[in-house]
Amino acid sequence: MTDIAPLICVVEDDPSVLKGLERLLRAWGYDVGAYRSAREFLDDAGTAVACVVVDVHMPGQTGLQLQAELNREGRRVPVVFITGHGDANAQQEALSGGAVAFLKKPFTDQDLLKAVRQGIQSSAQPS
Amino acid sequence: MTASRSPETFRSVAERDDFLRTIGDKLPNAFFFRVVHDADGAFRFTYISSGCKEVTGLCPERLFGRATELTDLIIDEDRDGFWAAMGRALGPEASLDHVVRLRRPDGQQRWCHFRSGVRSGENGSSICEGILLDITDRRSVEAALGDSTARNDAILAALPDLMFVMSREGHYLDYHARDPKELLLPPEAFLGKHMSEVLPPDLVKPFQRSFDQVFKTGGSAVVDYSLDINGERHYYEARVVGYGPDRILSIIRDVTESKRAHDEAEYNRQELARVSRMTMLGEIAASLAHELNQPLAAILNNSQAAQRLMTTGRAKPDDTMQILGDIADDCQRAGEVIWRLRGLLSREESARQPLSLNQVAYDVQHLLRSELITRHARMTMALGDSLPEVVADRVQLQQVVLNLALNALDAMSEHEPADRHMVIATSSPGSFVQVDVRDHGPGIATEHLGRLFDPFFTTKPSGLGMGLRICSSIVRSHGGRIWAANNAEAGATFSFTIPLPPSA
Repeated sequence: MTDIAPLICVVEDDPSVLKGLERLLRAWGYDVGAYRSAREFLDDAGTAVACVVVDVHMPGQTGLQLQAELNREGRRVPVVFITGHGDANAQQEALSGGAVAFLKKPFTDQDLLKAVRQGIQSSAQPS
Repeated sequence: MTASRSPETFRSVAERDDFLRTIGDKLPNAFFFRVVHDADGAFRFTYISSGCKEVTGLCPERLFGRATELTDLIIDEDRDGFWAAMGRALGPEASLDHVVRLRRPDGQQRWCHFRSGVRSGENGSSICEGILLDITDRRSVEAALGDSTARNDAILAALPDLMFVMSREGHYLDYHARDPKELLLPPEAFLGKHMSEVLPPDLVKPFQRSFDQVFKTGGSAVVDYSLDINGERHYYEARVVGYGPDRILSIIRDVTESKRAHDEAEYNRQELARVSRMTMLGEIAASLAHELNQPLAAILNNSQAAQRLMTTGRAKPDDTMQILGDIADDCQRAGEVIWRLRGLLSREESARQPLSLNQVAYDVQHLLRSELITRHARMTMALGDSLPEVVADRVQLQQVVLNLALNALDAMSEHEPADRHMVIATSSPGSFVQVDVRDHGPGIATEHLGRLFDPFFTTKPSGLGMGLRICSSIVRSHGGRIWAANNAEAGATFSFTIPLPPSA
């Protein structure tokens, strides 16, 4: 593969889930940025992010708040939500905010890759 | 001991008379008399010993002058009876043995016993010789004894219990049973026998120990035991007291009914606590599922990453080892979540065991980890160093702390996330361990403070009002205390104590 690998960022407060996701995405050839909180991601991640995988419930800023802030700032980063809660309201809010997918833990690599690829595709398309 | 002397002992009649007079004068509470009943019906005393004054309050000289001075002292109710007895004495019976009450000139009433013989005198007269005994003291003692015996009889008749008098060594000496059927054995099957011949072998030792104890300490002892009677278990409570140098009174009460009622109440209490626990866990089910999903998600992601690396030939042994190590850690973490929940969800009764309330606080912190994130609240632990252990039911105390912590979170739900802060603190300021759950909510309305632990009292729209009630019953069943107070700055603190075990 001669292309530069797309950068996928993962925002997840649980360190072992974060590590697992980072490994999985790297195994599939992606470049990965791992963040423990929404604040860390917003402060650190640049414009090259092809897709962000975000946990819904986190201490401090939640995944939904992160999405709202990206939208507010006009940063067109595709968002894939992951959650350990079966929260229908959050799912609706996420999708209406433009989320690519809403995955419930535990999910398979194929579910994640499908969503991430979809995200990368949407970020590559001109708006 | 009786002493007798032959007439020859005295050197003369005068000497014998002196002897008799001396005894007569020294008699306590009595006097000798001789009274002559003349043919014309008149009585006259010819001898009265000096005790007369002490008994009747009259000097002998007065009676020498007029014998009826004595009989005039007999109270009205007893007078006819006395003269009837005197009539029989002067007639065929020839002896007087009669008790009357005398009203002395000083107003005191005395019980007096006339005992005399009657013989014929000169000129158709009769001579009545004898003694008058003041038996007032004896009568009072008899009356008191009669009263106390009647009272004891009444107590015995009213007692629903079986009673056994036993020797210190364990022999049955006497019994009392309102209904002989309650004895289970005919009296001849146990009276005089040692308890080892009567009781089941495993009961002999506890009873013997209690007998030794009551004689050592002078107090009483209680022996609880049960017997299978016609296939049905009966429960008894024996109260053992010692009396005299070597006697035991053992009072046996059949407590089967009250034990059944107690067991049933305890079962209902546990059942109610369990249902309440289920309801409470149901309320945080989403967070608990999240707690389990986190390690499962990590395990799945890690194992699929390893699969991908292996199928593409990029798996390095070091990386694979690390991935497998992480998977193992997450399996353990998932196991711990289940283990923590298993106790709370179990139908089985958990046992009391030595435990640290710090551990209980940690358990609750783990259970609420996700719930705290969802509710945007913080929980701080302020746990006492080297907290002594208490003997308690871990699941029940987890339930209490969990309930108080969830109430604290509810109380702060209207606050800004930055202000949603609660503290679980433990300490041991005395012969107990104390747990405080402090919130920064609006506090408790003064009019609610006294009713918080009442059944069905709630300030929550969907609350049943049983949570704090059940917390209170759990804490009380551990011998502890639970209360609530408003904080000086903001919010409220719910506190409970669990006493330290006696040996601590």
